[in-house]
Amino acid sequence: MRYLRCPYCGATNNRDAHSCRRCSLDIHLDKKKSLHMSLAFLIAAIAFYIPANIYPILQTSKFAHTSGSTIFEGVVQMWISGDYPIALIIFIASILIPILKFVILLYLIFTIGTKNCKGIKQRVWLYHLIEVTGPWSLIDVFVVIVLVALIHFKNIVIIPGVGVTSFALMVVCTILSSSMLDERLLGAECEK
Amino acid sequence: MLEDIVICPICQTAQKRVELSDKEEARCIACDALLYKNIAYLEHKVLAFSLGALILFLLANLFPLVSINLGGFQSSITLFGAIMKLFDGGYIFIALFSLLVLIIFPFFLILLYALFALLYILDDARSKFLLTLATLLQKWSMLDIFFVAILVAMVKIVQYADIAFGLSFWAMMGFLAIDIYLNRFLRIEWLWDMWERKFALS
Repeated sequence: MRYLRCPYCGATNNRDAHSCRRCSLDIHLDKKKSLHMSLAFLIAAIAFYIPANIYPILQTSKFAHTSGSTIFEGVVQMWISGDYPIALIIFIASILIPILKFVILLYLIFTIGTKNCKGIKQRVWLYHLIEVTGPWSLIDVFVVIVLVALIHFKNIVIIPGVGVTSFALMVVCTILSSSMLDERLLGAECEK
Repeated sequence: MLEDIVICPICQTAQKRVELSDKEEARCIACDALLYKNIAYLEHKVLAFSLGALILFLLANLFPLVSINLGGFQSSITLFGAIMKLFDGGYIFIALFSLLVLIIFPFFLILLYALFALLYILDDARSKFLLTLATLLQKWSMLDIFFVAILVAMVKIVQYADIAFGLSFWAMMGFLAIDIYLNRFLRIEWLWDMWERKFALS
């Protein structure tokens, strides 16, 4: 490969360029740094995933009686009360996508690290999948924000749970992890 | 020359850039992904749409997004009010993060587009700086996710409360339609191509 694509502005640069000729941003292809940073954020994300699921993300106080619900309990409640589409959206966005992201990122980091050249197309597709779906995991956090601001009556109050901060941090770490992973590495050593 | 080569964003295949006539689009020779389009009056479209979006953004923040009536008790939210409530509750990280990705970044991103298009039309090469900032911010504008979250929250409480969508709700919807046009339909690299043709290559 003689050329390098700037991941920010899309300009074509020479392979050995350190900053983009067009947008001047740093585009140097640093495999070690990319993999290490990505893995570090991924580990942080997995660590945050645990408190995010153990602690409630939402607490409802009804007549001085407080009950919290974790993400999983929230999905189950919605399923039982018959809101199947919403239960499915929350299940996919909050539970399935984070786990899928962990697995995909680990797989991508591992295959780049071991210079595996099989299925580059599929791996590029997987990378774009997590790039696009990643931020949507925040939907649960924003639902909490809306409910907290809206429901503060005399007999019923909703406040955020401890888990919501961990959950947001988890999502932010996965977004950082996937953006640190340089997608140009996926096929970089497989030419010829 | 490097300017005459385009690299596919999906499969990284380098190929020769070809001139397009009106309404044509270029696709990758290897994977058929869209590379670039010829969009007439692109800078004017960006300016017009972003100015419209700024007005809608203002409207989206001036009035309540939704109001509910729960057994005689009224309540309503604004975007800013909802975030302030998190600061009050001591949820500093979530509050700061939401303030950035729901208000500050979406607003500045569109403002940067508007100023970029304006400086570009006025033949000012300093528009590059604005485009660089927009390039870095683009990923962190998440108001569209918040909008869907409002809808999910409403579904959660629809059986207990009467819900009325406010003016700001519809303004936010309009803002997001333009936001999606500017950030998803258009690619920022096309604005870079446009900038380069005018200032770097002539």
